[in-house]
Amino acid sequence: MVTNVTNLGRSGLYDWIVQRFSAIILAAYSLCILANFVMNPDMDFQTWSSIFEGNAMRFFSLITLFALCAHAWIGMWTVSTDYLTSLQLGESATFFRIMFQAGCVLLIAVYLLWGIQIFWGN
Amino acid sequence: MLYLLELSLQSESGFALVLELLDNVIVKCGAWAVLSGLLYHLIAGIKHLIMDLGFGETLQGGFIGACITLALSAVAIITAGVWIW
Repeated sequence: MVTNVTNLGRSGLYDWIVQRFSAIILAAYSLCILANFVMNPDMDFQTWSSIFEGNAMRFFSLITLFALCAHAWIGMWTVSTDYLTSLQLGESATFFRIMFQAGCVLLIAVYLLWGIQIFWGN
Repeated sequence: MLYLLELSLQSESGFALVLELLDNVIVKCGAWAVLSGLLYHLIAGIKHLIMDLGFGETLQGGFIGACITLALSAVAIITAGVWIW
């Protein structure tokens, strides 16, 4: 059996469940940030930075960042293996798909490291 | 977006700079575009999860679900635009 070597969990079912759990985390975080904006119509620096200062919020932000990276990778992998295939691109499909996926990995890695720096730096 | 987040959390003057940047029409349009995509993805994603639970999986249910998703997204995106401006 040939197993897929580029998807996150090497298994469709694993990817499926990771995608759903990460989706719930991302939705919860989005709504949490939205609620903060609604509760503070006149947002200033003190309020804004205090939201992200507490340890609970730092962990929530970090977990969300991990969820975002997994969610983004599974999503882009699914899109690229659906739409960047030999059906659309012919013989060079594998090359273009791998290049596209490599670009996604690079971008996701930048987001992850930069995000950690923002939430946990200083 | 990450740059704006970093800037806004770095210092008081960084936060003021972000507010200043967000005064610019092009930056406002960019923020609205990103927010619109996010809101639509969020609402369509919730619909997807609801369908995963087995609701609305008929042809008619799918149509109604899609209509609700589009309507809610339109409302959310317009609200976001009003909020930004």
